[in-house]
Amino acid sequence: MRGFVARRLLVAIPVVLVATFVVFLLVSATGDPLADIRTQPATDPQTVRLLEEQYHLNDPVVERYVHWLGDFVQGDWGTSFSTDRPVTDMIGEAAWNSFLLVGTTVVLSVFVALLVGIVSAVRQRSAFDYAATGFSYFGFSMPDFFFALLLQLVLVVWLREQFDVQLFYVQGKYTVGEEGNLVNLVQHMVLPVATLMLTTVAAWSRYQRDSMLDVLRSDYIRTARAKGVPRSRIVRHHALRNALIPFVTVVAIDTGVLLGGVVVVERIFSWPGLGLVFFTALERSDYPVVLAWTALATVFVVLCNLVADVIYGLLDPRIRVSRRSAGPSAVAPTPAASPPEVAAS
Amino acid sequence: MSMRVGDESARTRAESIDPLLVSNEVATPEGRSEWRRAGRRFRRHVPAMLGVAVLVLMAFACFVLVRFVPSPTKLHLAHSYEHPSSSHWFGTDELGRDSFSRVLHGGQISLRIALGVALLSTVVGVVIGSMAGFYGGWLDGLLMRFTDLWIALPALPILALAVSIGTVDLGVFGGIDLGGPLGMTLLLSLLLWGSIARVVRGATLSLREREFVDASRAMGASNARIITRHVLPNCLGPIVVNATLVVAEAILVETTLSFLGFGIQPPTPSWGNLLSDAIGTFEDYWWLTVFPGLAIFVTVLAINFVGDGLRDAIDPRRPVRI
Repeated sequence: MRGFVARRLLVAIPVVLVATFVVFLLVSATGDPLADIRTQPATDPQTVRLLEEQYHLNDPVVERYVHWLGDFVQGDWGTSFSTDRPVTDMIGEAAWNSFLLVGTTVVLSVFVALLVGIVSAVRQRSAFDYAATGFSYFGFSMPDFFFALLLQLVLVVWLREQFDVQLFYVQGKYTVGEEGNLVNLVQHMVLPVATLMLTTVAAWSRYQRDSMLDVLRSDYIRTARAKGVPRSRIVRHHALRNALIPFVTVVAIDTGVLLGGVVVVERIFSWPGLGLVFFTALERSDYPVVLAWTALATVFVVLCNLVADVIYGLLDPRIRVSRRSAGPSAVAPTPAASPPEVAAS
Repeated sequence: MSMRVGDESARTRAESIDPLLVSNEVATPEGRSEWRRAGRRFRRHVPAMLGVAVLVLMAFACFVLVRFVPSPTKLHLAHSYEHPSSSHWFGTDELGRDSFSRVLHGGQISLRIALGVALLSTVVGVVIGSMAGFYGGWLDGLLMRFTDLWIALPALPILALAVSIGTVDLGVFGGIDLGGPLGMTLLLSLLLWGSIARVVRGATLSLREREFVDASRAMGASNARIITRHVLPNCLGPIVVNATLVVAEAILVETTLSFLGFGIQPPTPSWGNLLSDAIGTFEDYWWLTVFPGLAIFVTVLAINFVGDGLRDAIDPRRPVRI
């Protein structure tokens, strides 16, 4: 097992290096960080030269990348152009807020998706199963920004106009003056979390249903039934345990993907998280923030894939042996009927 | 050479997938080839046929009907913010522009991009996937690791970043605005080929071990010929299914980007930026957000139905899940 983890880690390192280099190239292609300073008529050419020297702007891109990587690894992420604060502080604060959203979403989605997936597999072709399938189609096809707007239209605007009550809020984390009030926080979190959950529950419940159906059709389940094991015990002890393996993996991978989805939701609900930091920085051409942010996001996604891989190897010993040379492409064997990837969100 | 293996017709192709079908050939009449049977299964798939109907209607509206509606940029300042009515089906916006016309024009842009992306990313995915699967070894390792990396990149932030580069000079091809329809198509294709590459690689891995590949190699066929004439026609099914789903994905990603302001820029309408135009006033003028949003939803839903119908029709041995 230790060798398995070590191999995976070794594979992840070049992946992270190449990915961050791609990101570095992209960011350096977005423009000249000194453009503002250069166009000011009062700027002394000497100052520009000094700045170029300080930020290594005249070096070839590979050299700049190596330089940046050294600083990045040591925790020196630079200073934001627009706020003059250390990038680490800005991202650290926002990361906590995003984690609150993503964490809540993952925990709730796992719970709901498991329940829905198991029940629809055990009662295949029941009314519940059809309803769950319908919901999944709805979730896959609904753009989350539109769903967020619909939620606001119904749960906020309509409730306010018809009943004059304000149950949920659509802006930020707390109402001004209510900072630290837990109830107020929850009222702010309901709509963004519900929006994020739409896609995750749709995908994960489908996934769990399919993997559960696969297991329920297998020979050892038939054997268990033949020797008279009660159905409830088969579902809980024989089927569920094996059906959970792919589920756990897909949850780990999608948690990384959620970071992409949370960007949109945070923007719509003005949630002070990583997504807001990213878009503000991008609009203000705040390169140090954009660079650190994207690199971090990439590392996070690779890390989630690694975790998924390791969990899979841990839970299913066959993977450790048979996929010795397969690399990370062997993450989770997707059931044939797996829904379109959540990546679209 | 009078006899070539496996590439004469769709029927021989399909039969070479499954030797069992060869025995069927004797028993079944000419008209019941594998592809025809797949077509019949598809026509019996009710949601898929509904999806086809919706898509045909949507395509008709966005590419034909669009020529007969008032211009999307024609201003009627006296008629701003009109409710949906018989003269303006989807109401009018702040400047009195007809919202129905804007949704249709936006759809034209969004659908064109999505179809372009499906085509381009399929080509890229097929090339990479079939090379990886057919040649195997270090090439497979390298290409697939690259694919994994590509799939792992956080798509939306990377795309937003790329769009903000602005216009890129491509030498002989001239400058391309990455935020324009063409630029968006290229960017999205660059990001969405991964799943197709994986599918094609998987299919190729098993196909290259088949007897008909050995047979054609024995007859002196080159690798290129084996891939294009024997391997790829046999993974046509999964490729088509995947390309369909890429259309849905491309619509969702493009509209999300345009909604966030990093995609198609106004005044060119797209389903995404129509929504972002209206978001500030959506409490009062619901029709400006609801109709473009519904257009996205209905289209993507229809595509997902068609994709599932195709999958069920092409691969009947897969256990039916619904």
